[in-house]
Amino acid sequence: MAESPTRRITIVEVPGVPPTVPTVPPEKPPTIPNIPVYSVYISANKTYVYTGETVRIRVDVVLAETPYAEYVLPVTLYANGESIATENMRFPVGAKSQSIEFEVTFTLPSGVTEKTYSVYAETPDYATPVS
Amino acid sequence: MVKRSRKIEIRVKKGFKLALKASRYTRWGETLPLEGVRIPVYDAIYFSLIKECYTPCEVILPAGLAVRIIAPATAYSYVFVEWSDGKRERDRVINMVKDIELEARYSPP
Repeated sequence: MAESPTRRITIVEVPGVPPTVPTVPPEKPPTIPNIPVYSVYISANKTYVYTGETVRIRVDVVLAETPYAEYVLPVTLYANGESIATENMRFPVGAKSQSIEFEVTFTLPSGVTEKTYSVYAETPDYATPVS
Repeated sequence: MVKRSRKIEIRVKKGFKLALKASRYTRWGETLPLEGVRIPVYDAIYFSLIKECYTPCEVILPAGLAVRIIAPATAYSYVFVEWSDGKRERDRVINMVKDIELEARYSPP
């Protein structure tokens, strides 16, 4: 009986590669989107005053969507192109529109008997959520 | 990018303007200006003289001030008739709450 050939098998141990464990990205808190500003409206309680008199200037802002979190929006008031005041307007949950009132006292420089001030309000395009 | 409101114009003045003029009626019912008629402007409360106005004249007064103006009974021999707003008292008190323009009207004697 012929001897069957023996197959020699050498087992070489290869350093094992650890099994890959799928990495789960850390869970991010859901981002709250900014809300665009729909309109900015300005009005004053009087437009004809004498020097030293205070004018109440009201700025009404309407957002494009109803906020489901608290949002903030800086409002800057300009007179003849110069910034005269900045205030943060807060939009609580559900408040799509808000108003802010500035009390501005106009005092003429000496020697000037009359001056016209061109006043407007400016806001960024988007209200941002309060972190 | 920013969102901007419309612009509003706020006029600031030192006070309000009191413009005084004088005129005389002609025999044909027209009015001709009378220059150099003295209309003194007083503080109505303290009766202190604010300005000696010689028509035509303008004076800027603090807002809210009460002033007393007195048109002379005669000017260049013309006789006082009325003010342009229809009042017939020569001596009157005005409250400066806006710009005021008044003309003292005289007629031939």
